[in-house]
Amino acid sequence: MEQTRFRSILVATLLTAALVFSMSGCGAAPQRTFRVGIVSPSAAYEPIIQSFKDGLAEYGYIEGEDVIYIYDGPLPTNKILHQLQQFGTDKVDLVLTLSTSTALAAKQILANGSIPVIFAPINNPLHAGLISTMREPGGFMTGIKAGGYVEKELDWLLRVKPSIRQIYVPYNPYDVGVAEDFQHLKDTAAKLGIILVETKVTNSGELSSALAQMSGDVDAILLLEDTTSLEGIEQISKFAIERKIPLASINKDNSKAGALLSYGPDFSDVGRQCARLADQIFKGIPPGTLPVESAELHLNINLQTAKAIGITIPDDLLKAAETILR
Amino acid sequence: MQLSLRTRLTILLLVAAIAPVLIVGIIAINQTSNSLSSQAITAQNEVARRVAIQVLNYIERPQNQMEQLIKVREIQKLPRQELLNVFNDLMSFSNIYNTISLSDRFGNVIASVSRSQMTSSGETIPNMRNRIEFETPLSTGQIYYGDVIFDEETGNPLMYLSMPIINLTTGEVQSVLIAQLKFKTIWTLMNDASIDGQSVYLVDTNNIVIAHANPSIVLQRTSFKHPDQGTRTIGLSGTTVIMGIAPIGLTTENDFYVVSELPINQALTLSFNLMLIVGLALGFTILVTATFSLWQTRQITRPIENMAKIATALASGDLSARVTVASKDEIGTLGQTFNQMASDLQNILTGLENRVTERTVELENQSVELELRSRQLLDSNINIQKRATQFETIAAVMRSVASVQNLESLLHQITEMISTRFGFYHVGIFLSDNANEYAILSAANSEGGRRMLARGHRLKIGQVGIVGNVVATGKPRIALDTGADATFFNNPDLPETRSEMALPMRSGEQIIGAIDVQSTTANAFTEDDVSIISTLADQVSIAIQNSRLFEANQKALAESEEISRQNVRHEWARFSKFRTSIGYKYGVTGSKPLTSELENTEASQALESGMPQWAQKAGEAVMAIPVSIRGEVIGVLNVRTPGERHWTQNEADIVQAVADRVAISAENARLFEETQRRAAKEQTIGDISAKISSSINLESVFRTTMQELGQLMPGTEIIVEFDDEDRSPKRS
Repeated sequence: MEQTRFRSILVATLLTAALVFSMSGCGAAPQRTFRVGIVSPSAAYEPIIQSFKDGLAEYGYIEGEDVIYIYDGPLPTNKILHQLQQFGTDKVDLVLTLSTSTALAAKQILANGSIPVIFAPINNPLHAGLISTMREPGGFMTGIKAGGYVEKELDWLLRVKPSIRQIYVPYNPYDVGVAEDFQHLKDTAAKLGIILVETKVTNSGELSSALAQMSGDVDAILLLEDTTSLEGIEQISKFAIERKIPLASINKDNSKAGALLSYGPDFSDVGRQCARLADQIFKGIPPGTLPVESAELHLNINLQTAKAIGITIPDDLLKAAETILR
Repeated sequence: MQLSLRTRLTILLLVAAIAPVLIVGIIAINQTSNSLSSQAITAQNEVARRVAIQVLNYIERPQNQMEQLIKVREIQKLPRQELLNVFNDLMSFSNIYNTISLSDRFGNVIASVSRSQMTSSGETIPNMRNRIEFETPLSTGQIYYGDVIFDEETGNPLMYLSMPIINLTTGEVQSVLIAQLKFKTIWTLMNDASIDGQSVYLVDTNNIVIAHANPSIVLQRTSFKHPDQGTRTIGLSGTTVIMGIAPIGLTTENDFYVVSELPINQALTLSFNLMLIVGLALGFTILVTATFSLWQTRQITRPIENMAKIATALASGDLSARVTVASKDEIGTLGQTFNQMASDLQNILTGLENRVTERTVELENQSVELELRSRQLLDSNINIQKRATQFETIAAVMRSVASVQNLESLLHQITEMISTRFGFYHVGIFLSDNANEYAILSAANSEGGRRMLARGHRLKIGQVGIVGNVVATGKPRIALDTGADATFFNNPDLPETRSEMALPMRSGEQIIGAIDVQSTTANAFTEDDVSIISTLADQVSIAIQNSRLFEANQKALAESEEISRQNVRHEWARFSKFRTSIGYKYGVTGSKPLTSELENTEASQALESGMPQWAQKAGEAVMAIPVSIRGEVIGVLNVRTPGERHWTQNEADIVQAVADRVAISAENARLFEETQRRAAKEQTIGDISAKISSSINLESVFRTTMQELGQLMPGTEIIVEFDDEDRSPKRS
């Protein structure tokens, strides 16, 4: 009896010590699996989505284990609405919306605020009515602002070719953010005496037709953050090279596609910024308290295109360029 | 609470062995922790310092570039377009610039380049007058670093760097080069430094975080009051961190602070690991020490506990219990001694047990003897009690004899008393008849005896039963239920009799009867019973004799009283003849003798019955109290009062007492008169006798006699006659 008790005490002590040793190697408890719904109206935002996933992966969210992405690819407007409703029904943990119109639809459909929404890239979320202030958005939305650069885009274009007097601008006037950018561009051009050839396009068919009908007096083409135009970037670039006129677009991918220059946000950076916001939201910070971030703007120049259209890029631009495609 | 030896020894060993180890371990851990904590703070300060140098370089770089523009390029002398190109080149060279502009001494913007606006729109920029970034270098001639501001559109922190361009000839500020610097680019520095849990951020003099790896913190314009120097504190993240501080001085010594913080668990990982190792070593040491202590305690206490158990077994009577001696140390010696003591104790106790056994046998024998004696004493006591009871019976009988004068009742009491006190179920008393022919059952206590009494049971003296035999012979006899005596027990009234004893009752030499005692137990009578009941028989004989004498005396007394009453009645009757009145009447007018009997019913009734009489008649109340002498009513005291009245007992007692006094007084008066009469008579007889005696011859004697008698009774004829031999005396 006495011996048994003694042995029990000894064994219990050793087990406790072993437990302490084993406990010292224990890590943190596993996280839950977050479901993220992604709504995009254009394949042009694919770099954002991919970098968003990469960014979350860098924060430790392994796809399929810690996070599940619900993304059916680029959707037309009517399906976007349905998809957002479905996210609301499924009560996903986060919705990533791309483009201003998609963010506005999300704000309306997910209005009960139970699902955080990250928007990107939005030209001016404050003017679009998505947030209260940049510093403290309020509500259930936050995201990345990536607008207000069209004036500088025009500036870069003019510095490449100061003789430009007519600029062809295809855009979708039904996209609020695009329309706002166009208006700003128009005002700026007017001050400079530059004529904007305004062409409204809402789909690729219209774009092709519009390009075919473009006047020969056009000195350059400038693209806004318009999904129809961005989706047709290769067609437009090819067209511009054929017409030997410079094409200014909004991001590096456009330059890769053939645009002479691009000035705007890097979608890869935007995606990572979204990932950082998502991480904070997953950690319990209300989206309405996370300030809306601004995307960094980069100048990208494609020297192949410049050579193709016979333009020499000034050195100061090359110095200023983030990326030079030779 | 009294702890066991093992517990106390265990505690003592644990305290003695573990406490020093624990204290040393704690001190070592504490010292190490403090040292490592200091090292961690130093490391964080170093991180902050390095980042601060980078930040300072980063911020000072545009200052140098702008100075170069002024001193090398002499931008103040360039035409506007070339100036714009220079600015564009500068902005292309470094993305820290958000805007660069040049204003003349009047605040007019000569050229301006913006990262977000058209380069060619500089003319539209408002005048810089009254703006601090312009006025300060203009007025002071010094480089101006403005406070951190936040861009209204993007929320990004910005800072103005203004540099005066002085005319070397006049010494006056002729223009001001103003650059708006973006701190957002510094975020990259913070981000690069913030790795592996390390967080580095920049705080301005207003404690606003202006650069951080997490843009949200900056954009939120988070305020954080940091300590003045590195320490262990609560960090920006809200957790305990090791914090390093490094100030950055631009225009002053402390324009910015680089704060570096590392969560305490990371900063002191080495310390924690060391503490863990020391703790584990400490724990292992404690474990080993505790185990060894417990083992040693066990080695020490186990034999003692074993001895305690053996001692308990010895105490409970198991004298064969012995300690197992497994060691040769002090405890082994103690065990051997203990065993020796147990053996000695066993021997002593065995001897004691033998002695106790012997003594027990002796005591048991003595106990038996004592019990026997006790029984004897008890028997003696019983006998004594019985004897006492018998004596009490005798005494009671004697008291009854003294107190009870009725013979029948006395005899009955005696039979009940003997039966009750001696436990005999039948006691009978036979008395001889006057002819001494039969012994007649005069008293009995049992049911059968009473039936025999009722039918006048008697036995022929000298012929029937042992009673008859005893009355005839005057000798006690005891009959047993065996042999010839068995015939005595055929009495149907007393069928349960198994023993019978008859004892004679004597009055002098005469046998007056016998006491018959019967028992349901064979051989029930002892010599003591015979002796005691014989004594009782004698007492009963005396009682019977006394009773008989009492009855004779009572009878003689009654006769004497009757004679006395007759005498009283006769004397009063005779006395009354000589009285002229038959009574007296007393009223309000005094008393007067009665000469005739009153017509009074109550008086007549009282006279006849000898009892007081009361009556309420018409107009008067009457009370007649007889006046008696020795039971003979000689008169009546008749009391009357007019009107209605109820005589009280007190009045009746008074009248009765008066009547009794009247009777005594009347009797005394009558006796006095009678005595006087007798005395006179005796006087007369004496005189006559004297005279007769004085005569010397017969003639004279007779003559004197005649004369005296003749004088005494005048008119009477007196004859004296002498008889001859055949005749009667002669008349004269």
